[in-house]
Amino acid sequence: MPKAMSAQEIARKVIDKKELFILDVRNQKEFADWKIEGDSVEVFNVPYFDLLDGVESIMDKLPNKNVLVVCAKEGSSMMVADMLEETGMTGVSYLKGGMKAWSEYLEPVKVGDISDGGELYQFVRLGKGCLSYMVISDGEAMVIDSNRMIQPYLDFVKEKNAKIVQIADTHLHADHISGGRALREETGAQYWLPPKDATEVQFDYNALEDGSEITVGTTRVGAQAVYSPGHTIGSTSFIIDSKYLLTGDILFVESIGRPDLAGLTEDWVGDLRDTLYGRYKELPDDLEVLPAHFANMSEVQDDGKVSATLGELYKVNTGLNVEDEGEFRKMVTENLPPQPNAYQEIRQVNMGKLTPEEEEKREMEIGPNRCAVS
Amino acid sequence: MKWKSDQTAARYPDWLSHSRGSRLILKKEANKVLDAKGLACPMPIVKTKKAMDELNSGDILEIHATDKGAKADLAAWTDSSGHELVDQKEEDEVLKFWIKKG
Repeated sequence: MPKAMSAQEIARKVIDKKELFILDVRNQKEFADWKIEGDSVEVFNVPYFDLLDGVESIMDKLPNKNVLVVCAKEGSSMMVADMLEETGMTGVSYLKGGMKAWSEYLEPVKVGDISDGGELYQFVRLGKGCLSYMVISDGEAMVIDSNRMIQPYLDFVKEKNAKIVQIADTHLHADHISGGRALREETGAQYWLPPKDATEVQFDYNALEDGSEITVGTTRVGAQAVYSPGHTIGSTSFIIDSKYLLTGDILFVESIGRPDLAGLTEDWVGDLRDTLYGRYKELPDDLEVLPAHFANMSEVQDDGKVSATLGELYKVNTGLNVEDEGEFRKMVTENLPPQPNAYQEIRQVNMGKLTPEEEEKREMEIGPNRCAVS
Repeated sequence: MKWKSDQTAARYPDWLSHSRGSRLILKKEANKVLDAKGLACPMPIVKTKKAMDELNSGDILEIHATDKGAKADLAAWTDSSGHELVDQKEEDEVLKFWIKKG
């Protein structure tokens, strides 16, 4: 019997750069759209429906052992894994739950300690490029930019003997469904949103504004809000412990945010420019930038963390080094990658205007993240 | 004989369609109907292939499925296996496909 490999095991292999050969049996279009990536990962794509008569035709393309078969949900990869094993191959496995499970898996990575006690964690969603955060201090926790799947956060705080008391989104997300409201229902925590992004939301929230101080734990670890529009009009960053800068979708490690996902590109380009070339530039160089996304595996460090100091990014991030404003405008409005899957519907869900079934939500989020300019 | 539109409708119900070249063609009624409702991937295609193997070239297989993945996969499979996807539609959350054997 082929072994079922969990998304968690694969995440560890990808982060630890362990060799991994993947036979992806989804159709070519889905494969072209997104796949499991990593420095140590090799992937070969043949749709399962081209293998119904047998796998002989592809055996010379595969190593002679340790092949991981992957499909959308699981069924087809189990079938092909069986077929591979019947040829005598050893070490055959399949991805448990398929790309659906991969898309939803969150790997918690410790970012660092907070003075006066407390810790900051980054939850890396490798399959989708989403990054969310948890501040833990004295038995209390704050979740920032929560994913739709809230169980990983609930399990994690339980393990840490803490309670979620604060929840915040840096902006109204267009690429993934926020777990903010679901987490609030589960925990009774305060839920903070930038009011300028929330003009159409159908539920109550706490106004997250420039200078807002959010307290976590009795040591009064504060999350200080910094208004930083550009990706959306309300986009707000957080400075935690004068050490960490949570930039949301404004600034990434290798790129910058795109201003076009809410239909007001021209209006927001100027805001984006002001934030990146003005407000952020006034902040201390040694702040550790922690974005809400990554686009390339090259942004993931050896320990699985995605971050860089602000000073470093002003040196190497091309999006921060376009002197000419006209050229900058051109860069962030032309040649943008395709918009994320179902991004308009996702915004509606995050406003509380649409309430699809879990399976539909899942379908909306399928595919890669595309919140960056390049 | 002169054809009236209502006669056409009565005689050729929903398998009357336009070909891709916008020429009006009369689609042949399905030779076989495969019920793949409730089956998860890869079974809709496994069963489709098996059913196709038992048909003759030019025959049409009508497939009913509920697995959303079947939509893209059946289209890609028909392409790669030399058959033709003549028509497809969704009725009451059931995906219906008509595939002509190549």
